[in-house]
Amino acid sequence: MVRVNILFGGQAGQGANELAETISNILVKAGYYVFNYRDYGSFVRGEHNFNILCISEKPVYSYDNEIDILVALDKKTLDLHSKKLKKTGAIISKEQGLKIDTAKIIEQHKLDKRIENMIFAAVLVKLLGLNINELNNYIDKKFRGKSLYEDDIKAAKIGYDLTNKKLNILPKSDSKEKIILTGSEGISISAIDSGLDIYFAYPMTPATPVMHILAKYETKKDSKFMMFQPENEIAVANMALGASFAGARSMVGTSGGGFDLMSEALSLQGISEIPLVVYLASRPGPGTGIPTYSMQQDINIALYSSHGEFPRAVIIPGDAEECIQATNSSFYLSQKYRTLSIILSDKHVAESKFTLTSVPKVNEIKTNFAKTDKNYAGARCLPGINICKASSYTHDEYGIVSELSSVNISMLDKLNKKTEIMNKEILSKFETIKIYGKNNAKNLIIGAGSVKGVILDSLDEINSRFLQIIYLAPLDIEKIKKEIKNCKGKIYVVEYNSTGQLAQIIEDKCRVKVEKILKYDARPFTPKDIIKRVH
Amino acid sequence: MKLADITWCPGCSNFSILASVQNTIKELGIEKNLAITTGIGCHGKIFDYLPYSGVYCLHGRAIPTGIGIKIGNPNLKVICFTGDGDTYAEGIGHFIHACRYNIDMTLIVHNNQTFSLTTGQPTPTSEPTYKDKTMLIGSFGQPLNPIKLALSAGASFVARTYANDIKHTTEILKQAIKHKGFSFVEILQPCIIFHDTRKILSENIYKINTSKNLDEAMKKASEYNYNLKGKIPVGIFWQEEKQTLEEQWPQLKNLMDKNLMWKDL
Ligand SMILES: Cc1ncc(C[n+]2csc(CCOP(=O)(O)OP(=O)(O)O)c2C)c(N)n1
Repeated sequence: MVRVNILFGGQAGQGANELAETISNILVKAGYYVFNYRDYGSFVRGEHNFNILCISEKPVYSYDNEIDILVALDKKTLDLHSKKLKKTGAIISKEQGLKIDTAKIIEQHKLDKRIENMIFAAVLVKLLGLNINELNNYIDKKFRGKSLYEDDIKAAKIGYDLTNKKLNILPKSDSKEKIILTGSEGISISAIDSGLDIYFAYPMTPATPVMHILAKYETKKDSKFMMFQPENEIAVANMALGASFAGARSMVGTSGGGFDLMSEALSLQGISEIPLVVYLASRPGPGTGIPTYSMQQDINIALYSSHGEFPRAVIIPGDAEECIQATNSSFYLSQKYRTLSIILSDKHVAESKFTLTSVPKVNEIKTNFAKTDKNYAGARCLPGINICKASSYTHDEYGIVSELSSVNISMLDKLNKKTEIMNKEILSKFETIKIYGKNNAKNLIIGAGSVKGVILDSLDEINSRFLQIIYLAPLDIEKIKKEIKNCKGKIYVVEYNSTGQLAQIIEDKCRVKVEKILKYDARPFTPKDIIKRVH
Repeated sequence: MKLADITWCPGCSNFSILASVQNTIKELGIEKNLAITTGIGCHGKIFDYLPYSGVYCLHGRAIPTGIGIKIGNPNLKVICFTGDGDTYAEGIGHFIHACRYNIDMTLIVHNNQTFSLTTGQPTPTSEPTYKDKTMLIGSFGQPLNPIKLALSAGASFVARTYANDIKHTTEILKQAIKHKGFSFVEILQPCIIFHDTRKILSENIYKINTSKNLDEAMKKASEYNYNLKGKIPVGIFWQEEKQTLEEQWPQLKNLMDKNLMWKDL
């Protein structure tokens, strides 16, 4: 399998991300698989940011720090990233390598200044040996009718003719057109298809992209969906519960800090049994942490936040496709069991672009409505039709407060029974874990969420099987134990945090000693990092 | 449905508020399409004494949950019952924003100037001389004036009543619920255990007419600053017609025009 890595860098606002996106789109149309990693800081204009695009003829979920082509929109990109360039690598920039004097071209042809990165794109298209029509088709699709359309077409032609050089580095693709999606897009599409009525959120990176994507659904003609941004996350969670109580399918989205603010309301969810889906896109912490980078430090709060004892499901997708499935299942579980479903992701899953051969279909989700709420798992009644009372106090079957010991026992017994029935359904019918790799491989690697891609991309080299955890709650202990038992070599747990939260859970629940492979510089692993650390 | 046995103290002014609320809802005939939310405190117990749908919320969060219900089904009437600890301390942010959103909903604050259920600690509207077990040397700081706050935050209906004047409270509550937009009614109440203001309140309240402009309303609101001294105006300070949040939101307007729930779309 061939992996070609291209780094695009520039000042925020110069369009490195857009350039990477243009090339990605052309490549998936031509049948390639791409993984597009986006690296940016917490700033809006001026500072440095970059993307690394990894291209392959086979599914690819990670990138390498050994770069084949460096596309530098500014000098700083050269300074920062030249050392990553392979000996055989090529540079496209204004200063060195394949030199492009964009200022001169723009002046000569009287083009708009903003089309600078289209010239770069065209040069790159030529270098990669792609046809200019593929770029033109993309421009047509994306920009026809917009003000820069003519200039873009002209710039593409000029850029394409600037060089005759071709690097023969791209493998042959299967020529079947593919789709690129971010995790955030997966979450959003699936939420809408799962019947989401109202999304409540207060902006917080890296959950915010879901707000931006859903906003487009809200403004569609005859939209049957709305988004509400209240004063803070406490309001977000309490409003969502109110709306869900009134019969609207509701979801909230946030990152760790906002999730902390919601945790009292999540406990209210537990006792009131009002369905709620929570999207937790975690980021490095504690505190404000590093907003635009990625870590997995919130496994424990996703599992154990909020006071009292009540049921919850926690699903941790590892790519865009799994985001679609996780969101659909979250709605199903929350509606059926009137419970809390948490989708746990992070910036690496939320903002990286993944290649899919097709978009998986989601299941239609039904809600059963009834006259009373007496049967906890299942039907629920609606205000305006019947009298229904939901309470944050310990309450009887009608929602009336009670301090009787018998009522306290029966309410908790019922919540526990619900956990039991829900877990039974999940463990018997859902894909709670996934196993990859050869049966007779030596080691077992365990991981969840955003480590999935890099482990898959390393698997051929490390003589290991990979156990991906999809459900953190309920954890499929039996299946995990079985894999552990069958493993003749070492058991590794790979995660992006400094203490090994997942490793601790595996050790506690499966009574086994594991070796931790941790990374906590807030940047993703490359396959090389994994290969180095597995023996 | 068997409602809860009442556990308010004998002689509690919440009985009067309960009576006013029952009268109001019956007279308006809105039982069926009603959802209530309540905060946590003595006031919140009203949830278990009223046979209506609703959510007994977390302390301080009856307002956002109420707003959620309204967005979740804009064809419901929503009434939030809260306390002064609940709304003016724990949930003050929600209060200001609710005034600003102008969603069609009624907020009732049972203001006894004390945290009664937790046995009498001071609230943001306690008088500066207030003393209790936790504030042995008194509670410093000026009391908040929630009427002025609501006016400046853009509430479209702002009123105050006295709990033990059931007739007047019923009259004001009826107008508040009928008002299209966010209506805020503060009900001043004594707590006969921790803050017995029966004499002061009943002797000093006087009824006002609704002001013609905001300046005048502000002036009226400034007459009393919760220090238990001087005259205490009660009645409607301010009322104006403004577009509600639901009317401006196409999705919600559609649900109201067609009398539908989200699930029916
Ligand atoms: C988050 C949270 N903090 C504190 C409490 C404890 N608590 C219960 S009632 C209350 C104060 C109630 O005061 P108020 O809202 O004025 O109601 P009242 O009892 O006077 O009617 C407090 C602090 C709580 N339930 N939840």
